[in-house]
Amino acid sequence: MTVDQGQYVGMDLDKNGGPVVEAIIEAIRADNPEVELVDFNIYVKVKSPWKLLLRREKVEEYLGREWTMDELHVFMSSYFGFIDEWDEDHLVIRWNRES
Amino acid sequence: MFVWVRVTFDDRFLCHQGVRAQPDMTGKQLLDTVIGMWGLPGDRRYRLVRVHPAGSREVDLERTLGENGVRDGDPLDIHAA
Amino acid sequence: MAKLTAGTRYKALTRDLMWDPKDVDFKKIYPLVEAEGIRIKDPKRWEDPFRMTFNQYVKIQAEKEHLHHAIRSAFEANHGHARIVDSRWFEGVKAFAVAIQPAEYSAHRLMAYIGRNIPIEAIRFATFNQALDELRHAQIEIKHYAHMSKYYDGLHAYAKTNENLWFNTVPKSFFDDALTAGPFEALIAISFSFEYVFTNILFLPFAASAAAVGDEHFASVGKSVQSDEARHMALGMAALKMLLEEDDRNIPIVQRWLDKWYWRCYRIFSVIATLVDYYPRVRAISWKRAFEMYVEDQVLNGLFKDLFKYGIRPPRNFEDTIKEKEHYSHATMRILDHYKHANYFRGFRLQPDDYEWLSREYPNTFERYYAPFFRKMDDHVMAVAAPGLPAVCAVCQIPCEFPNPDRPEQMWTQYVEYNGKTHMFCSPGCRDIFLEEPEKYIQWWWPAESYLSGEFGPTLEDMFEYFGFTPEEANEHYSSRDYHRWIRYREELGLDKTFQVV
Repeated sequence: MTVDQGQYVGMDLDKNGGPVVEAIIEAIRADNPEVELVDFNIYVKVKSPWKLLLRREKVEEYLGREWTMDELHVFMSSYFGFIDEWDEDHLVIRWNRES
Repeated sequence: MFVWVRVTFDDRFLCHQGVRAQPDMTGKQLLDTVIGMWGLPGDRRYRLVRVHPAGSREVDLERTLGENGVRDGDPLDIHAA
Repeated sequence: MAKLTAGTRYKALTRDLMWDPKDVDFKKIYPLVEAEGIRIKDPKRWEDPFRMTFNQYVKIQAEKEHLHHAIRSAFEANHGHARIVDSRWFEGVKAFAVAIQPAEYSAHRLMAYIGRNIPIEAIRFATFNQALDELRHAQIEIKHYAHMSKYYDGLHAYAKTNENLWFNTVPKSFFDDALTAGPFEALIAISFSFEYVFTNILFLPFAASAAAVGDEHFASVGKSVQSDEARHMALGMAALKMLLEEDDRNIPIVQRWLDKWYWRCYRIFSVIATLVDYYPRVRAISWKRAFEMYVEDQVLNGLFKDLFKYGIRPPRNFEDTIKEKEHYSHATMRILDHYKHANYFRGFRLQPDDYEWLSREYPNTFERYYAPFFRKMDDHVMAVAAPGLPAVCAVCQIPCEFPNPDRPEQMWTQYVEYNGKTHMFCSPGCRDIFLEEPEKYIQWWWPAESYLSGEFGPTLEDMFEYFGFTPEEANEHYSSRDYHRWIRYREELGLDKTFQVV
């Protein structure tokens, strides 16, 4: 059975971010069990069915230093889904429909 | 005035090309101009057709473009007869 | 002062950008706000999803600039231009130079126009940021061409070429169309249709292609530009949602704009298809795969299913864009090849590895419909330069040479009689746009018509003078002086050597 690709929300991250992008990916993995990574040479696509959560605290844990959500703007090249929640502690991207 | 001409049997050029024309030139004169521009074989016979959304119409080669109802900017197709 | 949360900080720093005028009638200040039939009950409800304030904006953008210019300087210092895998890539970058850079500048004007005319604080602030972004993009792109122009043809009279070249009427007419629309239509056109639906396919695959061929500088341009796009996409998505939720009467209006701008954006991206499939000798991804992922999966099957609850259906003609995905880059490359004698970015003779890659990625179409044309072109490149100037589509202004994807041996050209004239269109998609607003599109200007009426002088040379480059800068890449120069730079740097390992 083919997977409905339209269910995914996610973001494309610029690999120039190095350890910051790696920490963002690890933080997303920790909070989104069904996350999938697709490698595109200079970008990496991180996608999750219906909803994706990113928390600052988790990024800081993996990065080992203070980190602000604003820094995401430097390396998040694109996203898909609606930005449902955004503040200094977290980001939620989601679709609004049930299925 | 100019018209847009397409040589339908020549797959090198797929769309209409701009050709300078005059309302009082005959269909034959326009055809000769195009044969020269495209370098088409001179020993074959060709038809000139005015393309129109309401239906295409054969251009009478002996009459002028004006008499044939060909206007500035009209598309025309050339077919091998 | 206690640290403010993102929400309170945003409110504190963006409040009072709007006020109720006492001495002048509101409608006199904002004459366009009701012109399009859009109804907004509570504009305060609308928020920028990222709630970005100006001090944050400046800090983030400065960091992006530092990152980019460090890469640019290293590339320039290290003769990066001579180290890419094949110089024909630069012809693709030249195409990008005239197609995209002026578009960035126009987008800056467009954002200022939207911000001026929509009296909603958050939209004004987001469009203000974006107007600055677009200027930044235009500038870092020009920096790249300025460096290239030291070594390669075509870009030395950039402003003139940019202004006058026939090819550039395509993006120019696109942005003129948006700039002459009402402010809400312009917002949906650019922030939603262009930014959310299509920019991914512009900057992600093209920047990946740049990296694949070793043009680190251009990859960095693409990435730095794209890093602003997430914010632009958020503006488009939030604006779309606001219009749909504020009043049911907005829905059919928005649907009409989505129908129009989906196709309009799709068509302007035709050249991007060749920049992904043809110009890079090492490819990162095919147009077909990129279209499936970024448009079909993420937008048509993702977003539009979410919009269904508002009564929004996928854009008119979307099926045509899916049908065309296996033809698009080939048909467009054929057009560029037809008119390469009068264009400042060259076509090129396809190499055996190109035929192999294109046949593999496009098993249903390339060998059958397009390879025979390119093989024939190889044998007499000059002989097949088109004899005159092509009839172009009265909406998108691209030559009417797109095949009907249902019957690829026939052209898709459509004809409409309006106001005593027969108008030609490249496709049903562009024809449908014309039929909605014929009075707008009959005003178009196309340099070929001016040339044919003798406006630039009697000969083709006069036209080159008008374009700002010479016939030697046009035509085929591997027989051009640019290719020979590139080979010479490589020899000079010792890059032509191959080293044996024993």
